[in-house]
Amino acid sequence: MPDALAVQGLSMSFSGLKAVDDLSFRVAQGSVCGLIGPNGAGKSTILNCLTRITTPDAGHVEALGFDLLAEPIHRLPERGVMRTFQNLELFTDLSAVDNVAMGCAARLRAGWTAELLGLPASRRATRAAYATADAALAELGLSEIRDRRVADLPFGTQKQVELARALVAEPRLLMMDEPAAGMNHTESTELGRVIRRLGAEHGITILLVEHDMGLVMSACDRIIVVVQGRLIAEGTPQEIRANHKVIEAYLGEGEA
Amino acid sequence: MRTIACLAAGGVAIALPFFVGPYGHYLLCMAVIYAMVALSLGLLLGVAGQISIGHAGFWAIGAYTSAILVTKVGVPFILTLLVSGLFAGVAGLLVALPALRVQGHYLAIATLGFSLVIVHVLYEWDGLTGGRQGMFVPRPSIFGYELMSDFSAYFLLLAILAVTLLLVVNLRRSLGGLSLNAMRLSDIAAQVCGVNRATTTMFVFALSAAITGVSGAFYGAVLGQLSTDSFTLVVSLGFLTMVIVGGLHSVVGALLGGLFLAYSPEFLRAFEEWQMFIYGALLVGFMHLLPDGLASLPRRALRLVRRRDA
Repeated sequence: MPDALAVQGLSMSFSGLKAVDDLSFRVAQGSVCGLIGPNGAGKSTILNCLTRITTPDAGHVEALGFDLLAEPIHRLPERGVMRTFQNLELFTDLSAVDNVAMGCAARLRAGWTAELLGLPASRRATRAAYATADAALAELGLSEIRDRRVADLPFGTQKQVELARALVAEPRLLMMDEPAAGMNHTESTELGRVIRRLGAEHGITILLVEHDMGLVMSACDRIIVVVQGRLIAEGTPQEIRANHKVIEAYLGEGEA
Repeated sequence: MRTIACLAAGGVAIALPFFVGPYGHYLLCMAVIYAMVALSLGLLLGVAGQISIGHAGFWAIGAYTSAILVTKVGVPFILTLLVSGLFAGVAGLLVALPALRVQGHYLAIATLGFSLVIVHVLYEWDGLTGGRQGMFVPRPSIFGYELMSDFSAYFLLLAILAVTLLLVVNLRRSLGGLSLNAMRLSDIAAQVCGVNRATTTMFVFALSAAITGVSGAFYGAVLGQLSTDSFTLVVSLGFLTMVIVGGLHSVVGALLGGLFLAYSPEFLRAFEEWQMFIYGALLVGFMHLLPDGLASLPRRALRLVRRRDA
C-alpha cells in the first residue's frame, strides 16, 4: 500500500517552546491511524501544520502524492484533504444543512458571474450541493435537525454536523481532531463504526486525534504516540497497549 | 406568498410618485439612490462581514466619473453608469488589499482613510472637478431624452434598482452567497471548506463599490451639482446608520434603510448640528435593541402575538 501521508522532520516551536520536535511518520492509504498523547503533547499543533492552519518551522509533508506545505489552505479540499476541529469551527448562525452544504460549495459552485445573473448553472449547483448535504445528514442520522441553527444544537451533534461537512467534500485524507469529545458512550461507539466504515467502504485515509481510548483502540489500524512533540511509539493497538514507554507516559491519566 | 409581496412592493413603488408633489419625487429619487448604496453595503457588511466607513469615497468616484464624462466628453448618461460602476469597482479592488491583512477596527480606519484621500484628490483637481466651486451636472438622460423632472428620473432609477436588486438577491441565494456568509461567521472554517479568502474579499469589495458607484452617478445627476461637501465622513456614517436601522441581513432592510436616509433630513432639519450625534445614537440604539433593524419588526411582532396566544 502506498502512503496517503508521509511526514518528514516536522518541527514547530512557539516562542522557544518546541511543540513539535522533528516528527516523522507515515499513514498507509485507506488505513485509520490514531494519533494519541497526553494533554499538551502537540497533537493539535501537528494537525494544524498538516492542514495549513499554521506553517511549521521545518519539515516536509507529502499527502496523496503532492507537496502539502506548498499549497494554500483553501486548495486542500480540491486536493482531497479535509479536517474537523477539536473545538468546532462551524458557521454558528447558519442551519445544519447550510453548514454541510458549505463542504461541497467550493467544488460545485458555478462562479460569480453565473451566480449574480442567477443562471441555471448556479441554481443547479445550489440544488446539487443541498442534495449532497441532505444525503450526508441522512447517512449520519441527522435529517431531523436539518433546518436547526447549529449554535442551538448539543455539542456532540455539532461535532457530527462538522463531520458531515467534511465528508461531502469527498476527501481521500480526513484528519479529525477529537471527534468524540462531548459525546456519550453510545454516540462514540456509533462514531467508531462510522469511522471504520469510511476507511473500509470509501477508502478514506483517516488520521484520528482522540482521547477516548476505547474508540482509538477499536477504530484504528495503527497508532502513533506523541509526547512533548516527539514520537515515542508506533504500532498496532495491541502493540501500543503493551508498550512500556506509552504506559509510562500515560501514568496517572488512568487509561492504557 | 413571497411573489405576491414582491409584486405588491413593486406596485407601491410605481404608484407612489402619483400621490406626491415634485419635492416628494425628489425624495423618492434619493430613497432609491440610497437604497442602492444600502444594498451594496448590506452585501459587504451584512453578508461578507467586511466593514467600510469609506463608501462615500466610492459614491464620489461614481458621481464625478459620470458628471465629467457627460459634461467634458459628451458620453451618454446611461453609458456613464457602466463606467462609474467600473471605476468605483476598481477602487473597491484596491481598498480590498488592506482587507486581506487587517480586519475590524483597522479595516474601518483603512476604508475611512481611502475616502478622505479620494475626496481630497477631487477637491484639489479643480481643472476637472471644479474643486471648491464644484460643478454643474446635467439631468439624467436616456437615448437622448433628458429626464427633466424627478418624476421621470424616478422611473429610470427604479428600473436600475430592480436590476441591482435582482443581481444581489441572485448572489445571496447562490453558493457564492453562502460562501460569503461562511467567511463572515468563521474565516478559518470557510478556508478549510475551500473558500479563497483573497479573491472572495476582493470580489465582494469590488461589487459593493461598483453598485455604490452607479448610485453616485445618479446622485450627481438628480442633484444637478456636485461638490466635495457631499462626500464627507458624515455621509459614510449616514450610510452605515441606514443599513443598521433598516436591517443588515436582508434586502428588505436595505430598501427600508434607503427610505430612512432619504426622509431623515426632513425630520432632523431642526437639529442640523446634532446630525452626527443622532446618527451615532441611532447606530448604538439599534445595534443593542433591534440588531436586525426595522426589517425584523414584522417577525418580532408576530412572535409577540404568538406568545400572547400561547
